Amino acid sequence: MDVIKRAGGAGQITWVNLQNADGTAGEFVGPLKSAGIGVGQIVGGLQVGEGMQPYVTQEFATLVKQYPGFGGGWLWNLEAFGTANTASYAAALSKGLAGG
Amino acid sequence: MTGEAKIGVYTLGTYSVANPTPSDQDLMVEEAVALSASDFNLVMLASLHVHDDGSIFFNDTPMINSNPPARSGQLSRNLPQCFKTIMSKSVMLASFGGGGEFNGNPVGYWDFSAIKTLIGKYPDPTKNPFFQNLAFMFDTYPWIRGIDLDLECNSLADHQSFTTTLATIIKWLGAGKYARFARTSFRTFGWT
Repeated sequence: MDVIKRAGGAGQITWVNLQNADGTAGEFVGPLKSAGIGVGQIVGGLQVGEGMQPYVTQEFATLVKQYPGFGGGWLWNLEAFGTANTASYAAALSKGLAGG
Repeated sequence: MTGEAKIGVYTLGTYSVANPTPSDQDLMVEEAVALSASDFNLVMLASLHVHDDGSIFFNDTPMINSNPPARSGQLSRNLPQCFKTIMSKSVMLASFGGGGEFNGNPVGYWDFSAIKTLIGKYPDPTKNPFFQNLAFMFDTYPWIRGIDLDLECNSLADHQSFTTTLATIIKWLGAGKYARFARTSFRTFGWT
């Protein structure tokens, strides 16, 4: 949070990508809010491999249930699930953010 | 993207192949088209690295040379077309740093160490080789709209030693750029 303060405040940050959000959101959401970064500015990350679309939907549905208004999600990484699955992973993530 | 949920993905390696073959280039186009046809609206290129002279590498491939800033010429000539395709749907960021060990520390630690040293030597961003190269990168690839700071360290103390460096990068880049928080595999915290 010192970085936000020293960088000139939360106005300098458009959003924060939170790595491994399924395990870290509980520790970061509160302190980020105190630093001026609202839940809608936090984008949660998840590491994935092949054939994990249902898992993606489930994890993000759980996250948004716990933190309504979450700013979005991201996946690490495309090459791990394959170009041919790009649309289905994006759809799985989108579905999870919509509540599953 | 204000008000719209971010649906993001990192792409690792596809676009950083040095002197790509026609087959490599076909894969790049295929991935760009797949991204533009999907619901993803945030794409992050992983991973960019900074050397001691401020030069920028895209994974192991030289991207922007230092003094003066110049394209290395080793990346695909089709990158602009691929990035333009991706950008038709997404915000695209370049992710600096990342994991993977080198000489006892995560690779990102060394990238931000180089940036820290260069900020100390060149406190004016217009004279700082890394920031000159970063500006050149944005000019060369205007589809890249910001950077993702993926500092990974072995300890909280190491992370804290980069607080001023990260704040300086964010300040110098100005509002509207982006930052990412990371957590290392050692369960310490940091900015990335």
